[in-house]
Amino acid sequence: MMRRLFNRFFVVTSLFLSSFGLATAQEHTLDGQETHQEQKEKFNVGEMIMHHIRDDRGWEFAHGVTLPLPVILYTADRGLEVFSSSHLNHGEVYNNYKSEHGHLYRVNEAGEPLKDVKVYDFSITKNVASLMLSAILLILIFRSVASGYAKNKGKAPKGLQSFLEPIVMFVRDEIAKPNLGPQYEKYLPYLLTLFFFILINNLLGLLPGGANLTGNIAVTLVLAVITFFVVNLNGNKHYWAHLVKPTGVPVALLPIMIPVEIVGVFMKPFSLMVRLFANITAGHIIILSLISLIFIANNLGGSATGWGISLIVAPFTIFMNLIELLVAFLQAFIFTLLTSMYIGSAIEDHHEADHGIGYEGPEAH
Amino acid sequence: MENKPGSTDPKSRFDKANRKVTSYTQYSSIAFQMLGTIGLGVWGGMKLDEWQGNRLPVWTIVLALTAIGASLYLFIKGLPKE
Repeated sequence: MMRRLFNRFFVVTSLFLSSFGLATAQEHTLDGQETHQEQKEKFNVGEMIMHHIRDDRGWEFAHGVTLPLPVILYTADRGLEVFSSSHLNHGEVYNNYKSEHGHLYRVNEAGEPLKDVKVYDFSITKNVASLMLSAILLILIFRSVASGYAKNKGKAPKGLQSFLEPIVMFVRDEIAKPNLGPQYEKYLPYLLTLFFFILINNLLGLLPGGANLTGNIAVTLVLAVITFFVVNLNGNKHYWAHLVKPTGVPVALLPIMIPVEIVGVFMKPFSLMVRLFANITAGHIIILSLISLIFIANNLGGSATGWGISLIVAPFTIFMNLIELLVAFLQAFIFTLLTSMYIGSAIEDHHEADHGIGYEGPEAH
Repeated sequence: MENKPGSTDPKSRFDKANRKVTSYTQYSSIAFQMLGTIGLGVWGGMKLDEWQGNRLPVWTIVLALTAIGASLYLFIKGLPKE
C-alpha cells in the first residue's frame, strides 16, 4: 500500500518536474536565438555550455535577467568590503577590483592586476545562493514534517509528511539497516541529511535557471570529506588493525601493502566525490549539447535547417531531462548507500555477518 | 509497520534485488577508485622524477605499475563475497 502510494507520488512529481524541464529547453532556445541575431557570425558551443555549468557572480535566470549577488572581500590593507556583483559585469573595474575568469584581482590605475595583493573572496556566488536556498527549503520542509509527527501522533501521516515518510523509511530500511547493523540509529541523521541534501540540490539544478551545485567539485569534495571523517572517527580496532596489518599478508609484503591500504582509505571518498560531480555535470553537458545542435545547424544551413533539427532534438532533450530526474534520485541513493557501506565496514564486529567488505582470510571462519 | 531495530525483512525477493543494487553500486565505485589510485601513482611518480631530475622516468614507471597492482588488489578486496 505504502509502496503503491509512493510510486503514484513519484509519477506525479516526475511529470510535474518534467514540464519544468521542457520549459528549460524552450527558454534556452529563445536565449540562443536572441544572441544569434545579435552576433550572427559565431555561436560558441563550449563557451555556452561552460557558462551554464560554471559558478557565477550573478544569478542569471534567463538571457538578460540576472540577479546581482553580493561580493564580499577581505584584504589586509582595506579590511572588509561589500558591494553588488553588477559593478563587475563585462570586466568593469570597481573599487580597483576586476574579475578575470572568476577570480578577483586588485588592479592599478592602468587596469593591470596586482598579483601581490592577497584578496580573500567570501562572495555569495550563484552556487552559494543556491546552497542557502536549498538549506532553507530543507529546513522548512522537514520542520513541517516534524510538526506533522507531533500533531498526528499515532495517526496516519498527512500531506508532505505522507510523501516523505516512505522515502525516510526507504533510507532507514534499505540503506542504513542492512549495512550498519544494530548501530544504525546513530548514523541515520547523517545519512538522511546527506540523501535529502543531494536529492534537493540535484532537482533544483534541473530547474530552469537553476545552479549546478552538485556538479561543482568543491561541494562534492566537502560531502566526501565529511564522510571520510565519519568513517575514520568511528572506525573500531578491527578497522585500524586491518590497515596496519592486513590478515593473510606475508611480513615481507607489508611495506607495500600498508601504503596500498592507506591509499584505499583515501580513494573511497575520492570515488564518491568524482562520481557525483561527473554524473551531474555530464547530464547538464549532454542536455546543453543537444540544444546547441539546433544553433549549429542554424549557423550551417540557415533557419530552416535549424527548425528542422529542433524537431528531432526537442524529444531527445525531453528524454534526457527525464533520465536526469532518475539520475538525481539514483545519485542521492548511491552516495548515501556507499557512505553507509563504508561506515558499516569500519564499525562492524568481525564475529557478525560480513557484508562483503574486507577479506578476513580462510582462518577467520 | 513498526520495525524493531535489527529485525530482518521477511520479503526475501526484495532483499535479493536490493543486494544486486548494492553490488552494482560497489562495482561502479571500484572503477573510480582504480582511476584515482593509478592517477595518484602516476602523479606521485612524475613529481618524484621531476624532483630528482631523472632522464629516464623510473619513478613514474615503478609507481604507475605499483598503482595498477594496488588498484587490482583493492578491487579484488572490494568484491562482494558471494
